Amino acid sequence: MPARCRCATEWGSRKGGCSRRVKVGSGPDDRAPLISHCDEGKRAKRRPANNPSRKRRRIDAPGCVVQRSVGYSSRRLQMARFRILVSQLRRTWASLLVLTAFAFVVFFHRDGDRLKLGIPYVYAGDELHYLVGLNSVLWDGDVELGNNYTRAEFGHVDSGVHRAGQIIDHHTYLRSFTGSVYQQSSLFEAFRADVDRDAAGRQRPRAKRIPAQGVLPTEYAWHPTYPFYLVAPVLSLLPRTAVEPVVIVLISALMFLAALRFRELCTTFVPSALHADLTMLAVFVGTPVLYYSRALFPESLFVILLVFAWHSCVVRGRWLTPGFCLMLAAALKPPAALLAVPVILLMAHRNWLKAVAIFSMVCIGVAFAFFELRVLKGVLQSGTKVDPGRLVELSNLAYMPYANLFNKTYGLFVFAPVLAVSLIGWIPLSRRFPREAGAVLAGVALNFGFPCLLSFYGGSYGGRYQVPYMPLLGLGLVGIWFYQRALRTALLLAFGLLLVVSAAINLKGTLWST
Amino acid sequence: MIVRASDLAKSEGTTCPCSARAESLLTAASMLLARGNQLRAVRVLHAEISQTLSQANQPNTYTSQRDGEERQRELVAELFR
Repeated sequence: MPARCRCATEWGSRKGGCSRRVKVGSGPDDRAPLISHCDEGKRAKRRPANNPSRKRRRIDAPGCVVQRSVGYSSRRLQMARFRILVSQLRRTWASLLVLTAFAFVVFFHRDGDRLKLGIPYVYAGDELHYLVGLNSVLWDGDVELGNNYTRAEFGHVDSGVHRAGQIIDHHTYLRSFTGSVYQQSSLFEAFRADVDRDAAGRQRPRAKRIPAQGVLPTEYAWHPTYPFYLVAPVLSLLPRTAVEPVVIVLISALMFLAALRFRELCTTFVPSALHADLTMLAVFVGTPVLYYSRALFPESLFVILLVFAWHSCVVRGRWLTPGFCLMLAAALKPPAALLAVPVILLMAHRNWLKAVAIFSMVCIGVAFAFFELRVLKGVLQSGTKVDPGRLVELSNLAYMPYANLFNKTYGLFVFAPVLAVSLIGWIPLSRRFPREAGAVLAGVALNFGFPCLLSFYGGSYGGRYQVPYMPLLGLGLVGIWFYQRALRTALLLAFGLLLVVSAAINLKGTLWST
Repeated sequence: MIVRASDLAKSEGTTCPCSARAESLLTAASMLLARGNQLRAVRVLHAEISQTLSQANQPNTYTSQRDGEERQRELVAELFR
């Protein structure tokens, strides 16, 4: 029966001990002589000279023992295995819960009043338009979306399986011969039953008005499109109908990886696995991050990129990976450059040259975002009409800070009450780690402040613009560990209770938003 | 947590390099403690931190995870006092 050899070798597993299996006790009474792989190795064939494993050196082969002792009954072995399984589950329970939650929201969708298992698809809002942009890059190799929207209206899957054949609004600008640009929705109707028809009888959007100088039939999105070229080499290998579900599953998988990275980040502040586990659960299941873990929104990517950059900077001490992640985020949306603030500050403490390098890369990302809109697409000009809700307005500061926190539909603490506990945790965390806490809180303040200048919450689910900084704010939850035992227990109880409530709110909200 | 000697030596903005070194070691000890089953390694790191902070009362061994956590708490409090 194979058992695990415990001898410590240089090439052994991390947990100490060699992972090789050896054969022991195969007789009827299980009393065959004990053989460790170290003994076995002496009798084994001589390995070829170029075998790299020959270079490995045993450290304490004489002390090598085998886990199974003489007379070990199979029942005791089973118990030992069960205990190992339990200990592994105790170590990974939170990660498994996050994985289960993510898989659940990816594959279960609302069907009337019930839930239905199915292939993931994009729900609504900007997701459809990002998918149209992606399909245009993948199948046409360009960023002109007019033909893609038309194809979707004819029943193709460019805007997703569930929107095929529908006349949706286009998130695009049309250019005129004189150089001025118009929002597509200001010229054409959408979501109406009385559609227009072309000469072949196919449906098309009904025109509201046509400008006197006319418009060109080319449409360019106001959403970022060029960054999709980065994933095109991989995604273009898929069949067209597979792009939508594969992208969503990919985002979900990356978000899970980000959750694991975030947990590791938490352990750099407190040595308690329980606190790190609870914090990871709170941030990734108890907030709207759960919804965006399966959504084709840039905010999903912002959470992923922020955590990867932060982890790479703090744990690995690197600058190129954080720089690239944050550059990509800024290229998707210039305000995402604010997410780079904590990473740059943390890196500046270690090495200011590397911090300058990250900052430069973020600036390149921002510059590219404007270059894309102004030059490559030519849709951002003086006089281009922008939705008033997306304009920065100082007067919004009178109401939006309160609304962003407590609004019934988009408020941060309405959707994630568990984050209120993080404020309590930030107090000792700021005292113990003033520099790190200062950097992270600066990021929270800036990323909360920017949406307060807009009168738009981001639509979709649960204050979309606030989602990217939730890992930053949620980090404060680990600070509970620094309180005295009695207070800590009370806070953990409150935390646990609010976590259950928050998880229920977001699980229900995610599943019922389909 | 990768603690490089060069990083520790070149730590910017820190008045005392010992403090930067202790901080890095504390972070590494924290991550090891959270992983579990690494008490001996944690004790070595804690001993090093105690030496850096000129503390003499470092226990010879940790009998449980809680011992390690308590010591970590003391060292964090000592470092950021």
